[in-house]
Amino acid sequence: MNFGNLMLTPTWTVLAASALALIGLVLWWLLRKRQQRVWLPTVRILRLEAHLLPQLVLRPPPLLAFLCFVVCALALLGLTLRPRTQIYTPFEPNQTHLHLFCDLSPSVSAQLGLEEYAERIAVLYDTLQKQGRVSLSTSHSPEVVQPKSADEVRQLVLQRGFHRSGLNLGNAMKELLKETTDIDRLFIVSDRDQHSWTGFNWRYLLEEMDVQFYDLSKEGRSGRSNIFINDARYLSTAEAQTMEWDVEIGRGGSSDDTSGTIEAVYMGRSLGSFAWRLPEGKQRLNVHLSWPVQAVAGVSAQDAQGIPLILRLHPGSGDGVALDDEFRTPLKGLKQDVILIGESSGERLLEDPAEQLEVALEIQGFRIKRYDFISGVGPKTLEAPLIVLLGGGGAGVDRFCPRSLATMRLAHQGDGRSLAGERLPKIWLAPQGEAADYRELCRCYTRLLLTPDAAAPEPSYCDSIESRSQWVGLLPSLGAKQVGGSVGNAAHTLAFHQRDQRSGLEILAFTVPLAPTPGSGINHAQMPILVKELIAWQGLTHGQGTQGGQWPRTGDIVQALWNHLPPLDAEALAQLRVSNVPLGESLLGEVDLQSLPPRWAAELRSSSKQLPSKKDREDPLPWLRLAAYLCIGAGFLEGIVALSVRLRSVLKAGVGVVLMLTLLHGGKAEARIEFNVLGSGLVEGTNFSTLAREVGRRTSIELAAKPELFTKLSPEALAEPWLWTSGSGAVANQSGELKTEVATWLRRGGFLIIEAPWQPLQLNKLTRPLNGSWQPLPPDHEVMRSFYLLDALPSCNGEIWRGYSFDGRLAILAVPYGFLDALKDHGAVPACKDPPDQERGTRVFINLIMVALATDYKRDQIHLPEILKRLR
Amino acid sequence: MAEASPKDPATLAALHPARTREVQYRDYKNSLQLFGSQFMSLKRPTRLPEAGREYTPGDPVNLIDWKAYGRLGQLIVREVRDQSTSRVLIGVDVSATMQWPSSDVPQSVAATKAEVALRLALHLAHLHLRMGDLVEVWLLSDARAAYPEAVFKPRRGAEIIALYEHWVAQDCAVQAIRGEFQAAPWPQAKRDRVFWLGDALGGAKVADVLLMGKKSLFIHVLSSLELQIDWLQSSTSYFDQEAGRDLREYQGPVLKHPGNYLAQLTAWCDDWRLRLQRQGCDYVRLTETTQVASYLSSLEDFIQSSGAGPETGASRR
Repeated sequence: MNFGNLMLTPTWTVLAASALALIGLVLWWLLRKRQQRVWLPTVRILRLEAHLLPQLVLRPPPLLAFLCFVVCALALLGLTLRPRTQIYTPFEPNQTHLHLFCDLSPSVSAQLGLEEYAERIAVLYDTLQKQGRVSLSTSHSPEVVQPKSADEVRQLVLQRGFHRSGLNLGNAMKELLKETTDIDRLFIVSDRDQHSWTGFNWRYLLEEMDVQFYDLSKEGRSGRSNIFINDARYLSTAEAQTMEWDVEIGRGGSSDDTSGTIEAVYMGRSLGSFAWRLPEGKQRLNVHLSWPVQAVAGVSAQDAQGIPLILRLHPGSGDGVALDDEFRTPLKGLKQDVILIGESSGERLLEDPAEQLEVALEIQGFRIKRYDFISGVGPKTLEAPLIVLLGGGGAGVDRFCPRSLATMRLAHQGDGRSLAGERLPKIWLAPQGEAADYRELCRCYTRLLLTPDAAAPEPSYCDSIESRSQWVGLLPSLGAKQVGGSVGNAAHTLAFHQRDQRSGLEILAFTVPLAPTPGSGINHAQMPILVKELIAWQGLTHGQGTQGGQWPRTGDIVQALWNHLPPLDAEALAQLRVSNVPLGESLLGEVDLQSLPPRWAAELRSSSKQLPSKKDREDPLPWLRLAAYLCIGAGFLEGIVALSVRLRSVLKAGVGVVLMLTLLHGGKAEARIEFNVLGSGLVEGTNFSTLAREVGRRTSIELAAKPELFTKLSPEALAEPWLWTSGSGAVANQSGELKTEVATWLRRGGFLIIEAPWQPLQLNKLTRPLNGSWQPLPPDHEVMRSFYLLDALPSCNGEIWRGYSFDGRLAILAVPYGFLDALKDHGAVPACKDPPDQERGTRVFINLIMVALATDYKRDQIHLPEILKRLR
Repeated sequence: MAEASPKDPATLAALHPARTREVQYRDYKNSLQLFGSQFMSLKRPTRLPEAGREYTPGDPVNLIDWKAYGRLGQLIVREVRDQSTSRVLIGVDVSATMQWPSSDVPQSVAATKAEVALRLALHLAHLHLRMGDLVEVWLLSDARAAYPEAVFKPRRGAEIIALYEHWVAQDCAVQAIRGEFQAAPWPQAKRDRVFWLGDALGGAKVADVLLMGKKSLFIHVLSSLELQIDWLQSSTSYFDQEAGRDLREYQGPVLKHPGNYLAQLTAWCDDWRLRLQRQGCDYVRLTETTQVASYLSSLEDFIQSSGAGPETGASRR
């Protein structure tokens, strides 16, 4: 019997039927044995028809159970089916998808040249074209192309060439297979480079496709020897007259004696060529390069941005990968310019207010362009990243405050850059001396930053700035932010910082002279450090110091470039394309052949392993799921039917309906702790969402954000396990003692928390009906350590937390301030001399919850032996 | 069987051997005999041989016929005609079917058929002993036996009471009183009065036993569960297997079907009644739920009807 391509297997059918029959027989026998038989002697006098076997009454089975049985029997029968004949899908080239993945990482370039690579790929393509539909992708990008001819393949490979970034084949395959899911045979064209193959579990792909490795590795040592530049470090200080670099040359593979030269090139200009020799057996060599600073004198740090220093290695021999012979690093040691405008009081250095500042700036590697005063609009302000204006000498604001800066600000109202794309300089405005004219400083400040247009008159408020304190008081009102000093005390402020949002111009207005004077509080030792800190804070450091090269060295092009989010801009892409070759690619480490996929042989023959096309294999999982759903549904229905048939009363039959409804519409069970506030302490609408979030985050307790408010004592309030109240009014009777119902509630386990205001005498009177005592909470109380370890509870105005112990537990807690008021959303700071912060309050609250839930469960220390055992 | 239900003192399940019906003045006034249950005529007593019997210890010495002793050398007691001792035979079937309801019966009853039969037998024995009759209680234990195999011959009512109390103390187990019964061959001599208590489901030859008596009564002891079958369940099958016969098993609904069990049981009981009536015997059907008063009435009817024997010509009261 055939069902399409499936046929009934007689053997399995018989076995299945026999199994069903046997199961039925066993069930019948079990039922038969279970059937009760009672001896009734008077049966012997009956003259009914006599049967040897007991007479069973045949009843029709329940319909649903019968249907379920039929379905199961059919399912069992269906499982006995097998394909009538094994039909192999006839070869249709368009159905078999072969994909070539070309590894163009630097290590492959050590094995063969680009032309040879392209040629071999083209030949491979030609061979595979006969076996199916061939697609191609390279390690440059995840794009998959469908070449029409071998020439197209050749051109594609030649056009793309080897990239300088490393490659991780695992990541590449993962990304590739995300987009292309119908690959039947995958050919990985690569070498045996360890850096590329590390972490690639190609065997996982075998379930879906056939994986072949087209090995490009050269046999023998010739393909495994490479010399490369690993690192370059700048050694000179900022004031040095030569640029000293330490270049590390590494070797992978062979260990023969090798020599060569290394050339430093910047902006197409050779800075020097230096010989090196790598002795036999040595794998690393540090080469010292040096050239005078004058060689790059005309280049400023701003100009040097994005232009790397290229170190080119010219080894004599034994170099496999040519790409890593070129190493890029940002050029360090270029000085930045600072324009300093400040008039000297005299010829001597001590009379120059900017002397120490100049020294400090030079130490930081800045070149100072000093102007004693300016005339006209002032210097070109975009030349330097920092402009220092020392004013207040009394000679007028125009003498030191360049209008060009104001003009520049007014002209370029955009994103903080000039029209040419350059950033606006930072401005330091400092008094010339302690007796500076702060009115001039004020006028310069407003001119540079606040005036709406060039023709606007100077503001009149600057006329009243006569002293430093007034200057310090004015600046915050103009929108400047305090730098230095202490919060709330602007007297000791060093400077004020303000940034014009539209132009991006920043001014740091100092309140003291930038010179070591008694009045400024800056001494000679502090001066350079202060300047360095300010420069670093304002982001003016640029490639200073003896740090290593920071040019990108991409280990995996897939992570850096493929599907990068957000998409890389042109500058970043350009940098990636000329990134340094990663160390892994240069070392030319090899992976054992055993751990690589089966190799595609050079001669044209079929691969050793061929899997049938994926389309021939059906996924049984949907069928199994269907069978499982049928069985579960049948079982569920059987239960419903049994419940409704056997249960007699309608009420009981409804249980089944209720069960079904709960299964379908049941919600997640949850348990929450609620605030229960008695009295008028909190107003309606108060929320504790912040506190609830913190409690939920730190513990496993879910706290309701909205408290339950009870305006007066009621049975509903006394049904709660804990109550918060402000003062004792709500729980005390007219005589000041606890109300009877509250006392009963406390005896039954209630926990009462009384917030301020209260008096100790009031508390004593309150608890007279109970048999306990008020005590301050000792440091070893469970409130101190039930969750967080607290050294003390926050007191308020000399009043401490008091606890009333009753029945061996903390029954009433008196809090000396408005605890809930402080913890609620937008809570008020308690009116205490030293109010506790939110964090402390939260911790105390969490401890309180733990005590409320579990009292002093930790006191039994039942876990202590286990802890001591672990400590030992 | 489910746990035994409490015994209603008004039913046979709690029948005490010394239980009598209420004595009415009329009965006492009109009673014609003070000793012995057999009514005799008021004629002058004769010395017919059938009026004499062997002397048994305890008989009044003045009734000994010394002349007969001189002739025969045997002590013979001459009975006063108006005081004649009946010879009463009480046969009790306590075979397997009488031990029903068994433990597998889900319904509970106050007493098994064997317990009811023994209670009735002891009551009858005590009654007749009080009346001065000679009583033999025969016990049939083997379902396949035709006649009882053991006998107990009490002399005084106190023996009955003692036996009864011992039996009740042992939870009315037949084995408790089995020791009082002596094995004996079944007698051939006729008796004045024969009672048979059983369910007629065993192999006992009930009709033959009853024919031994001048006046006989078959007390057909059945269980209330046999007469009222509402307790039968549809999921249970009810069976019986007689020795030598095939297993009979029927489902509850089959038995409950009209025309099946109840109809056939009724017909069977009626058949017994008719058959015995043709033989001149009486028939009464009792269960453990029969009221004692009803039983006593039936018994009185029987005793009174048996008082007008053909040889005595005694008139009925």
